[in-house]
Amino acid sequence: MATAFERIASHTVSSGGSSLVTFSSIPSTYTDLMLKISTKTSFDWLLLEFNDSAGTNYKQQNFRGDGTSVSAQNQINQSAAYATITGQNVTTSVFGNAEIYIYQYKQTSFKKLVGAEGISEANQTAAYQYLTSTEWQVTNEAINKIDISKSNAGNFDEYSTFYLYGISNA
Amino acid sequence: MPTTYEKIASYTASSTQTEITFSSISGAYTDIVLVFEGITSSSGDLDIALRFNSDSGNNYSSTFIRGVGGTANSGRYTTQDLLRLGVITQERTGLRAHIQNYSNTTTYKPVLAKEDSIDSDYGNWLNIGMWQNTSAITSITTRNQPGYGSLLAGSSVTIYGILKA
Repeated sequence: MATAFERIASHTVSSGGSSLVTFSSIPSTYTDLMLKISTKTSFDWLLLEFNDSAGTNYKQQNFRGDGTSVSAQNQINQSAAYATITGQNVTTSVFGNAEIYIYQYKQTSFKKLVGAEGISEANQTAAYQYLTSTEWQVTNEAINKIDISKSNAGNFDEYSTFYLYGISNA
Repeated sequence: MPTTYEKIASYTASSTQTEITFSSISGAYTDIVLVFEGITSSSGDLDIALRFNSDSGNNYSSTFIRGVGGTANSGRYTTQDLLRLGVITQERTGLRAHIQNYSNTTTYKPVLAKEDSIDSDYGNWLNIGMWQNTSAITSITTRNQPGYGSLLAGSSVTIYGILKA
């Protein structure tokens, strides 16, 4: 039986770092997409932008814990999906991790939903866990390109990794 | 190389409905992952829930933490006749549920689930649930709480099997 879970593409950041990782020409042969990301950088939001859609087309709910308290936030009219958080470059060898699930990415009749979980661990008092849901409020485009960046200036550090998987219910 | 992640069954609603059932589930896997994506009718939001092996007894419990608008909270359901895992709304809603060790016949069955929603009244839910029964799971019904709305056409459910060695 064919596997329902396949790697589409991957990227490892090389020496000098990178501020942007792009997966383009994503095939429409799957049902859902999954990103598995390991990053080290200054602590930040990890942003997703679909199909170069930088208008205020993203709406989000997030829920977070920082080791002491929990909070939640509703954000509308965002110019990118504030999908989850990055790692922190405060401790040697410690990277943050995130899993991002993109439902029904090739549909052209309804908005696309994204669920994500991310952690930013470090050997210090505050470390963070974020659960988020985001909607790309464009109905008539299949997602065929994903730009991954961070909300403030700076690079993803060397050895940060980005994996894109396709999940098929065919 | 043997595959470790296989589709078992998938269903996309072609019309409004309240219940989707997968039966005769093979015991050949170790865990099951259920993925739901959908939206409700305009008649109201509805609880999204799972029922195993058509067991309608009060044998389900779950605990959730959730972020709703600007508020975070937690709650628990006990002695339920369905495993309640969140709320499907008139915004598109996703659910990813992991049903671990589903075919063993010695332990109660745990479920770990995340609901993804941008609805300002419901938001993100992280659930841990339990079916208090030692039987192997051979059927899974995804359904709403009776009397509360319906799933619209285009809503879909897929179950995947994760293979052991």
